[in-house]
Amino acid sequence: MKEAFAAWLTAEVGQPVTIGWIERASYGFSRENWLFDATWAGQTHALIARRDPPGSVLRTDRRIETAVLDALERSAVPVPTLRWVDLTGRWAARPCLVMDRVQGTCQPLVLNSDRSLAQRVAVAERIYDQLAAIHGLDWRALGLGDRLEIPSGDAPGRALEHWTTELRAVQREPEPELALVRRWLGDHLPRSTTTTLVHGDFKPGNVLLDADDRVTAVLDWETAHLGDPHEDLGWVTNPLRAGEHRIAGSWEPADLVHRWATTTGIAVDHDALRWWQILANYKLAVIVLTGVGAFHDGLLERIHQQPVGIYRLLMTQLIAAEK
Amino acid sequence: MIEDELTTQLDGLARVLHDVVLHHVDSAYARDVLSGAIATIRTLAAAATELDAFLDADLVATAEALALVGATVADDDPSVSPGERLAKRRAALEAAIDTATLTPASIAALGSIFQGRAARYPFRTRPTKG
Repeated sequence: MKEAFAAWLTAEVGQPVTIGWIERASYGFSRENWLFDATWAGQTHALIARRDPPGSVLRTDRRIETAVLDALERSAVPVPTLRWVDLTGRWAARPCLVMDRVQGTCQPLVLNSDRSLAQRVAVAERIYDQLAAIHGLDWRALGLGDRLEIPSGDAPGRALEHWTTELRAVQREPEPELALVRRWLGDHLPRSTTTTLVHGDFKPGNVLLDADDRVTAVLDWETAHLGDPHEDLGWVTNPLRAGEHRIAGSWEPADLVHRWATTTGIAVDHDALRWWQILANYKLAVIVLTGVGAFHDGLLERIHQQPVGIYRLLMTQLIAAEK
Repeated sequence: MIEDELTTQLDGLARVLHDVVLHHVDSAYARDVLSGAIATIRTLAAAATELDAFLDADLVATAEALALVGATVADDDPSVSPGERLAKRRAALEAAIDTATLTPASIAALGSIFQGRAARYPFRTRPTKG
């Protein structure tokens, strides 16, 4: 990759660029993350390239991601500065974005780390205040209304349709469990009254923290879209991801939702939230099945297996919802 | 039994990859991929002895689920393998759920059958052994 990045960046900056240290990061299931240092005009720049892999757990559009990153640079939500985009794969064989590497560390399990309880709760508040900030953005003023699809009140129906279309594209064998979930979701579509920017995969692992535990960047905007903010709330309160999002007894979903509602001023519809929590696991199952298919096709190096654990939880959620 | 031999060989393969190879891999990405491969080999080792019993139980459970949504499948041809019969039943179940009249009771009953299947599924994730 050194030669490819050197040639690309040389063309972009108009003078010779040399690539020093480079390493493929172990994190990131949907994109290849290449960390590297590039030098031109006597100055070294810390950069990260996010390149499409041959196969992934997600099929997303780089144009959407770049539109969101571009818009958010003009907002209070901290994001990495987008330097260059190769949508065709001309330089790196596959579509690729190059961004500044932001100071800070990615700590997916920070809320259950060895920090004190008070420190962990403070970190949780800082992290999820960023989610509230995303939902509080004036997306029309940022120009996102011209670049992203506006769901116009039917965000739940569109989300269900989107993930069902993805399922149809990757499904290798019958999945009656997901047929049952799809029926339930379709029969209980909530009404959406608020449209915001939705991150789509908000979690501590998609946030960088500095040495003082301040958020320096919110990462991974490839599934961002305009939709119902309950979608992100359902994602972060999903019981399957409790190890990432909760501090037992001190930062429970109710605490998160209460702080989010107070900060955003948006009323929480608890029936809708339950619907989005079930949609979150439907989506996760489809993502895993996408990984299963890509691995079977020899396009993905990380092994994925049938998401039976997710099916088990989905059934618990459906049975509880019907009581 | 041949299943025991398969389990023993796969467990041994996972052990040598973990004990001999893993700590020599410098790339974080390659180490992560290898760790995933070792975990999968262990899953396959455990599944090898459970597969036949799982197929038998799942044929019965899927027939019960089909009855709940008013569907049946004629699949008693002895030349068809249990795996193929199961795939046919699950395809019929998926199609039937899409159009069946579902009640809270039938959703609960189907959910319970699917939970039982997930618990028996031979390739399920299991606690790791280091």
